[in-house]
Amino acid sequence: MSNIDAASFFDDFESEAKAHIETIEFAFLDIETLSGSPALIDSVFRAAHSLKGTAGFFSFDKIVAVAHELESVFSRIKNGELRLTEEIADVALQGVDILKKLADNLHSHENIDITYILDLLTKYSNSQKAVDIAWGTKMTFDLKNAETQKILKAALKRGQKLYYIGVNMKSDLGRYTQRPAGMFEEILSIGSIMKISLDGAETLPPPPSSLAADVLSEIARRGVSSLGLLVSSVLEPELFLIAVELESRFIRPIPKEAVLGLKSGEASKPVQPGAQPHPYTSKADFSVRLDISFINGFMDLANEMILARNQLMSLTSGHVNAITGLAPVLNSVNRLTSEIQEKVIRARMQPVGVLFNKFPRMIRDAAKSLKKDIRLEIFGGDVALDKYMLDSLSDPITQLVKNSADHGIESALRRAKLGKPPKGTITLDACMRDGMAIIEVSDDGAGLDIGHIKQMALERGSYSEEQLDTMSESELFALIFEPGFSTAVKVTSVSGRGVGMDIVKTNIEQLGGSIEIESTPDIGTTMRLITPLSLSIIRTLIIKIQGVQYAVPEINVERIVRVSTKSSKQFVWVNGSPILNLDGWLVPLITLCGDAPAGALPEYANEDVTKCLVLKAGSRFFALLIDDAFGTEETLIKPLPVYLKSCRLYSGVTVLGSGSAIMVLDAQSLMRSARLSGVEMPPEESIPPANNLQHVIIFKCSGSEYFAVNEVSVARIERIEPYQIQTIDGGEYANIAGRTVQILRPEYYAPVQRLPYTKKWLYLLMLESGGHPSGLLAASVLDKAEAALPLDGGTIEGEYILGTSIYGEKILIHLDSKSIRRSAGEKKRISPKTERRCVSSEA
Amino acid sequence: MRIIRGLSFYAEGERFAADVALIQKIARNIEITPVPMAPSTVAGIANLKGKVITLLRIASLLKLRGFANHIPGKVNAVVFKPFAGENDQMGLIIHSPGDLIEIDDAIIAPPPLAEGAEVALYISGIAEVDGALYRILDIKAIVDQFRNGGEPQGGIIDEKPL
Repeated sequence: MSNIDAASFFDDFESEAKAHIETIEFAFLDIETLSGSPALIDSVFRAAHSLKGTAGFFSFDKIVAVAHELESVFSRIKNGELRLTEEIADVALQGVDILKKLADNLHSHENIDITYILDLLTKYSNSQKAVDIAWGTKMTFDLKNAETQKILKAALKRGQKLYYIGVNMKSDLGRYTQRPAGMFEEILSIGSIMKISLDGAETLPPPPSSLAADVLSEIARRGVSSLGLLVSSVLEPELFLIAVELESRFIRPIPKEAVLGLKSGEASKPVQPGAQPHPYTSKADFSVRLDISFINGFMDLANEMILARNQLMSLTSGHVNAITGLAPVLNSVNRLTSEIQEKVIRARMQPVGVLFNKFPRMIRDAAKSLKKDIRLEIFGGDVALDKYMLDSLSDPITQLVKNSADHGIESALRRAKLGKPPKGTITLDACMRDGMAIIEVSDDGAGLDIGHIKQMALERGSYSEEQLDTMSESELFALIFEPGFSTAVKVTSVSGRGVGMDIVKTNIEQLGGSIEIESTPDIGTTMRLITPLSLSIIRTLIIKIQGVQYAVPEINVERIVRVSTKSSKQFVWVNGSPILNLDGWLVPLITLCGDAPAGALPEYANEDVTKCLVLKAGSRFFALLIDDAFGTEETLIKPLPVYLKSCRLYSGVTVLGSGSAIMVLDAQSLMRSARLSGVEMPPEESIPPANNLQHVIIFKCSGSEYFAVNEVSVARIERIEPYQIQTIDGGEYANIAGRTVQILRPEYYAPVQRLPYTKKWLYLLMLESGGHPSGLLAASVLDKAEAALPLDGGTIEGEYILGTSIYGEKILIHLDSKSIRRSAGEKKRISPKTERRCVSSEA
Repeated sequence: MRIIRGLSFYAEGERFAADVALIQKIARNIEITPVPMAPSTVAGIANLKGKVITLLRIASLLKLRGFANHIPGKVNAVVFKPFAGENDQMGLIIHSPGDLIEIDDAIIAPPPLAEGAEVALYISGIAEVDGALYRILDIKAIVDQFRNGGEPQGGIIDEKPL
């Protein structure tokens, strides 16, 4: 390697090389298009050529060798000497793989074997000696050397071209072998020698007249074998080559860029007699590459602006009317600040196409090895996601695509029997909805086999037959995500490479997303990933523990419960650890308390009533003792400061709208640090009425009736003003802390009076999530109570009524929140499925 | 002889000084949020103009006796500039800032032997200026120690695979 060793040049080379390699790879993935497009073949040829040039400049000889052979093959295709076949595409892609490997390991080429690929390529390139591409002769001059620069720049200024000649005095001199001085004479007749190196060591040239003789005597004296010359000449490469009469491989033109900035798009190319000069194509490139930390700096500033704006707003709130013209100014400050923040967040985003683009190659290879005919269709590649998000999604999506190819798409024979087109189709589709990214991986294959899933579940002994019989289709599908159920993927497998779907699910959930399955036998399967657009901005619940605020990602929050520590019904101690009893569901309770280990129940918890947060880490649950919970906030999560890296409870830090810096709790680590394994969610049906008592929330609606709803099904209670309720498409909605919540009026679900609400404040009993958020509208929330089970049936009947019970002197109507929510959900749910299905069936 | 310009400050009833060139600002009355389970040297975090600063306790750093845990509230702190290549900034909680002092590096004495090796790491020396003794903190050493994770960790729970 020459003295040009600045790491940044390598980085530049690496990204440039990868771009060229990608161009080649892409073209060869679709040879039908490629063979029909001379322009495309030309671009491939040029990519190989440029790659060779740049690599040669840095003396990456192996890259040069492979790129050269590829170039020769492409050149023959271009000139019509070679017909493009699938076989050639295979070899070209293998070449691409080697190039990728070489580009990835620029500094440890030694271990990468290229002889195999060169042998393969020479079959098509028709060149005699594959490895003898000596034109990557080592450049022995440091072009960045200040003094060399001066000389070279001066020559360039005079309109001269620069050449490097590197020869072995013993073997490479050709017709000058007998009289080496002849070579110097030839060179000096058409240009001037600016620098000389002997065996790689630079020496300055003496005056031209005595040059040849001096150099030659020096060569003889030292027994030098390799000679390097920096030559300037007015001649174009083709003419220079003819004039000097040396083999082309010993001569290398030095592009202007190499001297002036080392940013060579079209770098040095070997001089080939008769080679056509390629028109330099300049691509207008208006993009800038920025370091991510630079953008993060912007993000901090934007956030600071938001805080300053909030302060400004609260300070001026009393004076808006007093100062004329203040209101519009405040409004625009308000709007601009939000817009800036939004733009900055966008700056971190990249189109999901960047990720999708690696799949055509993967599918092609997979199809080959599985002996299936598979086509990949990509939609929505322009949906932008945070860079970090994209990187993290890569593995799960790869897994799903592989599964589709492997287990989803049937053999050609089976497809023919079913009357399906022989070519299977896998579709990748991205779209945005409600501020979430939805990425679908669908195939038109066999679909999941429910019978087989049931059988697997039975074999594992995790579910009884009765349980399985009561499960809905989607619940059964979800079983394949259970840890250890990975073998269940074999339900559609021929090869049995079943891989951990539970890991896919965990990964997606760690990103704050979820995954849904839709599958129809013999029609196909769709795996739908729903993730936030960015990990940096997530919705968190702000809680307080011992006077300190924390943020908890909302996705981890299962519910908030009020418990009495005195009540032995709600608190059990097992081996000295507190366990929460939530209507028979036993959840381990931990605390976060100063320097005490998580797990012990601190004294402050011994108040009569405390609040606990039931948290979900993956599919496991545990409870955390808290002082209080406040609302949810959109928070910008910043990475954990280096000083706190060693404490694993947190996933980051954030600054609240109020200006306080707070820690973001990580549910998974919290559970782990308390040495808990958590508990699983009991299947909904099996929450037993432990002591024949059910905790209910009692409320009133517009009429005089008293309603009750199971406390467990209510996540929290929100207060809203009537004007917040909007009617959209027949349904009622309200914006609660930035989320659209469907309003359910109990009056519509029970045979009771429907009167207008007259109160200033109304309440929403937010129902346990799962799908769209919804809440029961109430005029007042009266009490919490225990209702004896079973309820009295028959008094008041209805589809959505569980029964009645007596509360003091009143009759409570117990609502079935689950079925209410279900019925509302069915009416309103817009399935993203419908549009996509058409594409697959067309295929 | 070289003159070092230092900022003096009081903390835990003692006088300290730090190279003024490394200091970003003196933050008064900033709200600190404690971080449970953090290394004992970390008092908490604070928001300084949108940036989250980690605040350290000098007392714990230098193993001074009898320091109290900080409860959420307001503190004064000296906030240091980030070193090259670092994003995270660190601050030391102080009682109050003192004057700018000029220290002739010839009069800086090595830390007394009585200070343990671990502690001496963070003190580049002791100097007497106008009759008062100052311990000069080696900010770079403190930052390095933390970045390399060499801080003796208190209150951290072992992570055990389940």
